Amino acid sequence: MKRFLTLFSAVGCLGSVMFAATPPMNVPSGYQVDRVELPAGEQIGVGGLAFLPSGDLLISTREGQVWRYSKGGFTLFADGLHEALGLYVDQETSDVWVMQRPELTKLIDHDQDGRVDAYETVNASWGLNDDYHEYAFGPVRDSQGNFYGTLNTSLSYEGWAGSHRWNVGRVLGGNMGRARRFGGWCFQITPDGKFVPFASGMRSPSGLGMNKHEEIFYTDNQGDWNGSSTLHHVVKGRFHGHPSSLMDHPEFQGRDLNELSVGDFEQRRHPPAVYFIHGDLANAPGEPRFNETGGKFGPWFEDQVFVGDQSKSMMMRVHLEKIRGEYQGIVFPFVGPMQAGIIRNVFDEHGTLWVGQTGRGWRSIGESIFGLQRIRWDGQTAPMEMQSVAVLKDGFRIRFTKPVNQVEASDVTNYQIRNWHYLYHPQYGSPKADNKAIEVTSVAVSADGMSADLKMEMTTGKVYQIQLSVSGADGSKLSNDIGWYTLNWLP
Amino acid sequence: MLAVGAIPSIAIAAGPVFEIGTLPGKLRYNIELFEVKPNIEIKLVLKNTDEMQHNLIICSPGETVSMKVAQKAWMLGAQAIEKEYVPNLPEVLFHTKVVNPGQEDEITFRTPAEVGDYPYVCTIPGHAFSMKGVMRVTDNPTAPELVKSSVDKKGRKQLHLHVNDKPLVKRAYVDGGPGRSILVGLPGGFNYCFDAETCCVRFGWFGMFLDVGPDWGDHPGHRGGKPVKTLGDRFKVGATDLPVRIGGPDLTPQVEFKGYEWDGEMVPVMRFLVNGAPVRQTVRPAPEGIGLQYDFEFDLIHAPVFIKFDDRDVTLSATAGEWKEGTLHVPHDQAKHFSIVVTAQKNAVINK
Repeated sequence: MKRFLTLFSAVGCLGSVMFAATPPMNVPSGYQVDRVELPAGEQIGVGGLAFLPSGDLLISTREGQVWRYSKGGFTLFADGLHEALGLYVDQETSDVWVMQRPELTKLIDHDQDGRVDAYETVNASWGLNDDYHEYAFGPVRDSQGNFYGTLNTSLSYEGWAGSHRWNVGRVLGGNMGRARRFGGWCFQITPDGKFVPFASGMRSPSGLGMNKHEEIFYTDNQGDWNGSSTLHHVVKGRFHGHPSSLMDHPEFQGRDLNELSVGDFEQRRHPPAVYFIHGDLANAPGEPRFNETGGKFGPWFEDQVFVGDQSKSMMMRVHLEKIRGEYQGIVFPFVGPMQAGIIRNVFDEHGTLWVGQTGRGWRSIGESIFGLQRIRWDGQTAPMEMQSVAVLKDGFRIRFTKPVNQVEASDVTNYQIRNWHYLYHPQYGSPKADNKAIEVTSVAVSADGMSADLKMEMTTGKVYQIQLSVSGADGSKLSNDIGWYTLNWLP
Repeated sequence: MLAVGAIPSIAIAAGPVFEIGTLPGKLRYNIELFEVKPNIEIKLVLKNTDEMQHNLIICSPGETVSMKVAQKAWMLGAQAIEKEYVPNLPEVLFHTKVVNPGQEDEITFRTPAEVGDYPYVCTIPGHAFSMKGVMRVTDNPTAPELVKSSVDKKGRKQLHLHVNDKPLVKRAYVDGGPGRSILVGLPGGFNYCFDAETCCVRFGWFGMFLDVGPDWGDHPGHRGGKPVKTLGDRFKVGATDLPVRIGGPDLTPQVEFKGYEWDGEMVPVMRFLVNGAPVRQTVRPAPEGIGLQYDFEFDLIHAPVFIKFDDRDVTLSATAGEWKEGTLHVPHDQAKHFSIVVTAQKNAVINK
């Protein structure tokens, strides 16, 4: 384990402001973090990252620009957009799309001078007031050419929108409402430009990702109807929990959602695949990015999901498994806190993870308000980490990246387990309900020291906190000694 | 000549070459007060070290004179560039031409015989709010008096978008505008808000372009995301909901915004569909007065076109069709290309 404090110079004017003491950044052995110098004087709150086939990086910003970064430096590719929170690049044609608040837009550089000259509206079927929270996120695209995006609910406090429509669609006292069409939905845009409502129940779905099997995942932020931040597997027709979006659901047309009960919504709700622990780990997760680099980011972490957090400036690592046909899994801290709140991350062709940052809005940990950093694996060093945690009928199997010390790993007292659940209710957030210690009744370490099977009482609907005091056989300490498993189903 | 500190004033006696510079990104001259003896010949050089164009006009005394001169300059409309933003007013005493970034202009003049404070100002639209100074004509030039700096007490960073010789487009929430606002700043100080939801111009303003600080966050800890501010005076353009119609003036149209582009021109062209028919609208400053010109292009139209205005407080004219109660009726065979000029009457200009 390596803990160090990197030295940063100023990033622009606002970026240089020093915040209250930031803990040193924790980086697993074999990984390095560096920082990309941004053009001086520019405000680059990263909203989207995507690589062109040429290897150049496009960066869309909350200030409405798209920058192109190549070895020669930064050039401005597009400008004048409304909070550009995501990019998609077609790897065959180099065509570029950007998600901005009002629409999905194709950016076209007809005269090939490096600067966009046509901003072509692909679809703008959702509503938009002047509400602070009416973000649009995405896009991802499947092999059929369908785009997907997600739409934030509206904040229903007076003053957060100049519009008289600020207080629309609040359900049972929740603070987020639906003041615009399709707020709280994931939508699909077909190759011929049609808008299809795809899945509902989202609150603040600020991260959208797709794996190589074209499965869609999104992250949601803690708040009303979402006790702690979450990662969800999106399936057509699925309802993820925030009821305001049901105003646009055909089944609820003309019905007053306030006449339904929490139980009615709970019955319909599909549980999250993973909870990010509010306060302890993450308060505002961003884009879930699947590591499909073919081992270039460390073979142990292939197919795992990397998610940044906007408030705690933490890069997290998620291992998912499919149990009874549904995803669930564990989240670990990975690298952090970084220099500013993270909402976007993307792998380049060498397997380096580029981390896009903006701390504005929720005051992130870190010395900067925006920025761009990179996490690289050195190609040889194995970190000491829990590689994954898998559910068993009567406990968990922890796999490690390196053999563990057999003596330490065989001692049940070296494992501290707790579980709790989050309340599904209209109130803002949730305590860790029924938070208690769970006894590990036995542990069996594999002969090669690469895994340990723990036995304990297993209760579905709970989050399990798994913390251990176990070293590697070579004496190395765990970089991150904790993880949280969301147990929806037992095998 | 003295040049000490950020914004000094200086005293000059006779016959020197006297240089005034511009502060990059600040919309200010580097000298905001200078003293000079009456009735002497001086050479004044405006050295523009800013990244946008500026000029300098010395006016006759009076507290409101420089703003009056500047506003008159802004109203020159399409003639502004040709006239170097110098209005034809008796208050204009001496002036430079418009100086491009990195360049300079020298003028020679004899100072007035009467002592007094002679304001000077940059008349490029919007600049006059901060880009001004005083030439003090005095028999007894004294030691320099430092002008107080107008730095924001809260330490806010100025996040203004300025238009030079090319239009700027910024999509953002704007005070009093729709969620799908597209804000366009044109060279010459005219700006407009296009609503991509109803496909029409909502309002115009003249002056500078935008303060995006409320959106981007202009000081540490500021959340941003709030409506941007237009810089200058708003004017009405007779906007109505869904003004562009095909087939009948009372048939509610289906409109769909398709984007905008710089189509070989240096002004953005708005593209949208009305009942499925493609329409292109280019917006420019009105040839004169405070207003805008809309150039419409309709493609493959087999029915008449109607453009509805609220004609209170605005003056309307068009190159095709005829007006009936604020609605322009254009036969389909004249709709391929026509223009409308909408100018605001006096009471349709609102000081923001």
